[in-house]
Amino acid sequence: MVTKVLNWINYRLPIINTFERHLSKHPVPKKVNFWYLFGALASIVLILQIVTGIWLMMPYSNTEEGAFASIEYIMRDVDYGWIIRYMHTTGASMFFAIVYLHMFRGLLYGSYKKPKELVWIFGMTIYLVMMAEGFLGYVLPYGQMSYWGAQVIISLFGAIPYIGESLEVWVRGDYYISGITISRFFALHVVALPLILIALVFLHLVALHEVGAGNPEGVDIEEYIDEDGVPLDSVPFFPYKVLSAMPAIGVFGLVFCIIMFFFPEGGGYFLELANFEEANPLVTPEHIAPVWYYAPYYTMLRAIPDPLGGLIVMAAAVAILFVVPWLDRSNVASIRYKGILSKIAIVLFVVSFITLGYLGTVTVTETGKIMSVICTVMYFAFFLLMPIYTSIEKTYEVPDRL
Amino acid sequence: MTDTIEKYLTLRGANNDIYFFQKRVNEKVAEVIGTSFVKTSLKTKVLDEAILRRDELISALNELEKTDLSELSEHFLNIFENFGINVKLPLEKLNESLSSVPDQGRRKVLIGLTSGFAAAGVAFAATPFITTWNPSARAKAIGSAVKVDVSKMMIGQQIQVSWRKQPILIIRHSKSALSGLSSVTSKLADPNSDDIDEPYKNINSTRSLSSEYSVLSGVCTHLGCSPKYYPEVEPKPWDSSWSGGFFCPCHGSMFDLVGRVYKGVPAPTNLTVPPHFFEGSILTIGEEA
Repeated sequence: MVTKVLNWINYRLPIINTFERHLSKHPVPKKVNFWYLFGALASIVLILQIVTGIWLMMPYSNTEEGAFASIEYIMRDVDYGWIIRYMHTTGASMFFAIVYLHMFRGLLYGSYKKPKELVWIFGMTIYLVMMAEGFLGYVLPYGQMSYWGAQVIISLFGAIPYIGESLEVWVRGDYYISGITISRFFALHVVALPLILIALVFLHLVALHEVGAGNPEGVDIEEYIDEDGVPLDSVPFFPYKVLSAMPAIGVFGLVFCIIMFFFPEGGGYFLELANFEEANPLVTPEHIAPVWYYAPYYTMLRAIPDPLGGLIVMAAAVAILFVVPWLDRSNVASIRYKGILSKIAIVLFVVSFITLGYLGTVTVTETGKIMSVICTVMYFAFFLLMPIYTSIEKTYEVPDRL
Repeated sequence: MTDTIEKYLTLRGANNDIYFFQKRVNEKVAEVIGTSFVKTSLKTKVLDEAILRRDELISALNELEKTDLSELSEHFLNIFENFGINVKLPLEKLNESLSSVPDQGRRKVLIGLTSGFAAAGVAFAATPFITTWNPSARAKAIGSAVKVDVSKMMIGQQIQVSWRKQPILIIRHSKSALSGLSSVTSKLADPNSDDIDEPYKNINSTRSLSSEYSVLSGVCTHLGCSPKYYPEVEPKPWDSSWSGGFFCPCHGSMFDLVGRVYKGVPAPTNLTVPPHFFEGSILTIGEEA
């Protein structure tokens, strides 16, 4: 009976074929390591963010007078409201942590190499939209850090010559970040950007399934296929990958819960302490720092003593990631078979990125300023010199099979 | 559900009774037939017939892999046609044949005109979506002028009032503070406010219409934070020879007591002076006299 119904549907809408092709029977490389888990974890967190987000929308008030009070109301009066909110805030930080690891996996194993350029570009666009989404979400509680963080970010538009100032007013819809700004950010945060995000994730996956997932060896498994066109070095997604990912998902859930229950503020890095105070347009907090996931770019902005220059450097830092597929001239994909120069470069890159992140969360000092300039240069050098060091170094031979 | 019976053959259809052919092809063939995965009905319910037609199709695909489309024999072209597979020339060649169509220029003009009108339509349709983001009439009305009585301020005191929800800093300077202003001139980026368009700049050393009070917008010209007032002349973490002024906690910009920016800090220009005038001790901010 069930089979009959399914067949009836499948004939009209190839739901079973699609399910098999993209999920249950989708062939994936048989040997991968833990770095390949973060894509799946990211999609779990995305679903979590959507669900908790919908629940938060219900008691939240998107007005100047009501926004901050409604967050306190969620935290104190709504039954289990605090858990939903902390799930959402922890989810935001975890989402970025996972995506950073996922992106780093891409850099390590060349997940952007031909023909995966589009997978990489869709992924980078997702990251860009996530940054906007995270920023808009952070403004909604209308706490001190919401207000002043938004003030700094919106002023970035003001640095654009000629149209800057009117653009700022246009984005805010007022002369300061008011209820008008809050309610428009709310609409963008809960409807517009999530829709775009979901569409991009869909494209990211379709493009990935078209060209096939990569592996840490950088072997093209499509070269050895059986008579059905299935790569010999692949296994079906279900049950092999689903079940082997289960323990990892469990560990992630555990870490998530520990943060959510015991350290929801993450020592001021996930939720900044100043944001537990209502926005006051007349008083800037003593120390303004972005949430940790923007910190590296914020440091670059601060390193340049000119708003327009800072804006350009910051935008370039993100934009340069998009063109990585064309900067890497190496004939191998994986770092395992690349030469010593690539290995040194990626270590320096990680050091500079983490240092930039750290500097973004602390007060400006003289040494900090010099350090941030050095690290910004290192960050860009990793990308700009990539065509050179990947083409001159001697690479190792990649095996035929996985 | 699909069942693999023979290589590249599957049964599909309402009663699982029609044979389908599916096979992955290489890049060269994919370019010609427009898909990398051939999937077509063999239009038969009989296995033997299906196998025969499959082999026909495979031989045609193999042939296409080996030779150019233009050299492909009529026989194979017919096979593709029978199975509803479109074989077409790659885009470049297609364009060549198109350019020989005589009306190409006229077509381009028409396409151009149509897209032009469509673009204009989109621009008109986008207007309300863009302009609703401008400040509303209500938001504009709230931004009117404010009045402050400054006579009760102590010497050296700074007070802050709100105009358009922006902090406006009012400072009552001591005589010594004003005479000390010239000592920091060498550290300033623009001591005479030449870089900004401001009507009050050369009237008093306070940069305002009063010789005793400064009226400054408390919005850092870097990225809009509110600089804090540190009037003390003493070493500070950000400057070991600090002679009083404003320090921005966000990105470390420094300004002197009358809001003039230091060299080598993120803020590009001096703090701005909002439109204001004094009537006795009553200061009006947001309007010119």
